[in-house]
Amino acid sequence: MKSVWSIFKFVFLDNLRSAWALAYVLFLAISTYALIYFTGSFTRSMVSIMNIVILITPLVSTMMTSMYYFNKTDFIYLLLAQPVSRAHAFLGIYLGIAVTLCLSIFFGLGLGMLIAISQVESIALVLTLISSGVMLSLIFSALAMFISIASKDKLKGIGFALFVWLFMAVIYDGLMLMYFILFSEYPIEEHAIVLSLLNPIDLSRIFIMLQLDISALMGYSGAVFQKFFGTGTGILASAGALLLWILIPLIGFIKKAQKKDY
Amino acid sequence: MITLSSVSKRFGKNLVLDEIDFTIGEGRVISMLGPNGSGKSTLIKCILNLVRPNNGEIMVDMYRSTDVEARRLISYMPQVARFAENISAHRLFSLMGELRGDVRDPLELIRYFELEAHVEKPLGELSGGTRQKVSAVLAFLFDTPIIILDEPTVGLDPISRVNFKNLVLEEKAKGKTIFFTSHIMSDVEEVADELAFLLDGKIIFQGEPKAIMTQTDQPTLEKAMAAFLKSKLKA
Repeated sequence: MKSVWSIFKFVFLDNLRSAWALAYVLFLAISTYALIYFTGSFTRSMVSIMNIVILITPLVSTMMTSMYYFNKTDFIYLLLAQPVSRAHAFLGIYLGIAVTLCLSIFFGLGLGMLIAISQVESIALVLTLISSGVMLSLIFSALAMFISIASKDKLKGIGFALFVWLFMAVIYDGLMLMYFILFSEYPIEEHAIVLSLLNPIDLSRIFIMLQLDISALMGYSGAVFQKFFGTGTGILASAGALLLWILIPLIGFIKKAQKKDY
Repeated sequence: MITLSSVSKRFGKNLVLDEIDFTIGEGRVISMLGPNGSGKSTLIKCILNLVRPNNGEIMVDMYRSTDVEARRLISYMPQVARFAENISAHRLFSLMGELRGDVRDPLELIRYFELEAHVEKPLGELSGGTRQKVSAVLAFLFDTPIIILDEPTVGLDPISRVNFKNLVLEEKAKGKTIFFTSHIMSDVEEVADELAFLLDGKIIFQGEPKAIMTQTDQPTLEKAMAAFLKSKLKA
């Protein structure tokens, strides 16, 4: 595992010295501060920040991971020509990118909230937003790494990774809505819970909305979510689902890398 | 010593390496020649386990090429030296040292390739030739018994090229096994004990440079290689 640590440090420093990490922190900090300052209502500003967290952070994670992989192929060749297992090499690269993304969210959202601290009403909500962003970054970075390793060329790799983001962020909700409209005569509220567990963006959205205490806006589904995700089983199931969303693509890209020709 | 036994590699319908049987003897300096797309880089990548052969077996000393330990015996200089853009050469040398553990002091090599003014700059700011020198330092940074160089002198200025060849000759004198690809015949003539010629995925010649000059009745290696290639393409 010493090699994972060495590669992680190198990739992390490489990312830290590039402009994108700083630009990302500034974007998050300025948006957070501006939304809190100009919206007037803390709850409303948190809903807007939630949209940034659940839509923008997966997109940035997807793009940054795919771009790093495809732009650093010579560095990856050099690493793989050393006495390092492929599992350790790719784990190190993944952690180097993912930790940069997570720290950017922590400092970006944290800085924005800190500047507007006088208007922050709930620290628990701020922490939920930051931890949701961190989880989504870990998940989408692992997914993008899996897709990049599985793809033969840059265009297909980045294109497919973006499609996965679009599917999770937009198309999935559309399909869910269609399902609920088509089967509105049936008691399918519980299905919403299962469908939410299958999409990390939805899961994060529900978590944040439950913290916002505006689940009543979601009607009966909101009550069902409150009842399920408020219990120990619900928290355990959703934490397990998020963990699986990180672990499955992570194990997937490690396995895929073993068979790939470079 | 590196031994390839019946190694084949296919990319889709394209057979790049066709049942290659090839030995790189201990302490020998062997140059792999062949036209562009003949499979030279793929063969090197197979030895380094970057590419997995469809058939056959590659042994590096007592280890299979798939074994991590096989790569501990090899230093490698890639054809293209575009590494991490925002990190300095110094940091890259440290990473390689951490990964391998048997690192020499890079200062001597940094001075040798006149890189003192560049080692702390981000790699992305360096010219192609300077990056190639960084790559050369990486190849000689470790005291490994085998050195593999893929088109090592491309992009180097004449002084660095001479320095590089002298370094190869020094390593050769220490009894190291050196395997390299090149299109520059004067480099090959100066350092190689043996040539291997790869065409359409097959090794069609392996022997001393003099042998091919005698066979083709040509005064220089460059002319001999051109005549040899023409005769093979006609056949």
